[in-house]
Amino acid sequence: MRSRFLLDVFLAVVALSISFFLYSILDNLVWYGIYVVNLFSVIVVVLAIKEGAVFGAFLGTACGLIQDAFSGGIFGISGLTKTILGYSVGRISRFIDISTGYRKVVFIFLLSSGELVLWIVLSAFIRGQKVFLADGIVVLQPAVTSVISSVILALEHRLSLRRS
Amino acid sequence: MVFLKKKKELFLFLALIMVHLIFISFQLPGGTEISYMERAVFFVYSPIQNLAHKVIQGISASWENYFDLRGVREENQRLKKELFFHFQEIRFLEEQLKFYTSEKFIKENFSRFRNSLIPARIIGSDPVNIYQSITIDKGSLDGIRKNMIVCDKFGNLVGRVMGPVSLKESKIKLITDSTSGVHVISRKSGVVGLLVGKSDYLAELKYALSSGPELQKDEELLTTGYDGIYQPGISVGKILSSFQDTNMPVFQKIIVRPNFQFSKLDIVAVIPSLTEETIK
Repeated sequence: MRSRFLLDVFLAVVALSISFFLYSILDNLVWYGIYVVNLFSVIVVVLAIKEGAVFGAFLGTACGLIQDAFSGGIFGISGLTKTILGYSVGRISRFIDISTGYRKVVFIFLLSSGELVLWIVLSAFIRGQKVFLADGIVVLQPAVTSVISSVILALEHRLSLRRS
Repeated sequence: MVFLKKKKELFLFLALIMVHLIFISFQLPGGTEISYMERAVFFVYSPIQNLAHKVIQGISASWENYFDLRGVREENQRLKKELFFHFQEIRFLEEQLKFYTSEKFIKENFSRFRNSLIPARIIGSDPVNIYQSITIDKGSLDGIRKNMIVCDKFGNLVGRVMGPVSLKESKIKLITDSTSGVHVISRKSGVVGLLVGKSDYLAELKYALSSGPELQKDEELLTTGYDGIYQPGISVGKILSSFQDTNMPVFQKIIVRPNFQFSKLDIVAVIPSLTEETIK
């Protein structure tokens, strides 16, 4: 039980560090790149589907707080929305069938769209001003998140099939 | 007890939500103080950002060194020429200054300015709004402190160090951020006001009286130093448009385009703030 918990923590720390490293590379390479691909959402969605709702919620908290710490905005908004994303993805994926690629894409797209809408509403409400949408590019985030997450999950599934 | 065990997941989730709501509520309405949690996260993860930037820098430097040597000689000649003119300009300005103050005073001030200037590289932009903040690769070990002023390589005002300041990284609040305020004066007409960001590529000059002189398009704005942070005389931006504010007719509504160009921002200069200079 304890070793399982430690393994989970280790997995979360490694996943976070890798996603943050990739996020920083993307930020340095592509102008507005970090607004098209939200790697934190990708990592939260993928691991919430794999590990469950509680893991997803905690990872969402960590990812959101990192995003907030590097932003000039209110600390905690992304943390809150990503916690909800991680928990809801982990929870709902246990009740519905998302085994096919198409279902996965639609499921992740809907939940990450919900997260984005919640983030926009909260940011506008708390800061009381227009939310930065990077010339509308931010709207692409749920679609890109769902495609990348589904590809990662499919690859992981293939790898585990090969191993077994 | 059985109910609690069954609903453990939900309670954990609700507890996390509560933690976030507490974080958010602590920062409202001002959002000025940085929490220990935010500092801790920045402290732990900023070295990764620095590493990623160094990887990109290393790859692009190798590319330039080995494959893209064409044009280097030409660029070198052009830079030498530019440097020559810059030196001449400095000499001319030094001569001009001598009319107003002693040579010893100028030399002391110039050397002090050079010693206090910290060049830094931008390693990351804001994940939520690109016009709010940036991260630089210099931190407390390099002498960076909160409220130090940040200018681009042409001397235009970019923002100030807002923190968290890590050992080798710091976060900068840009003048385009909506929570930033700089007291400025227009070069020609002498209109004073508070420059506030709009969280996009523009800023707004607030509290400029309608009864005062009319501002012309492209008129330059400089810092006054009255805010106690920014040293006076730093170039900030140019007037884009000015018209009567319908909500508050006492004031003009003035839109300003900051002089620093975000897409070309790579190296910045960090200089002491006015409070630090006064203390010295």
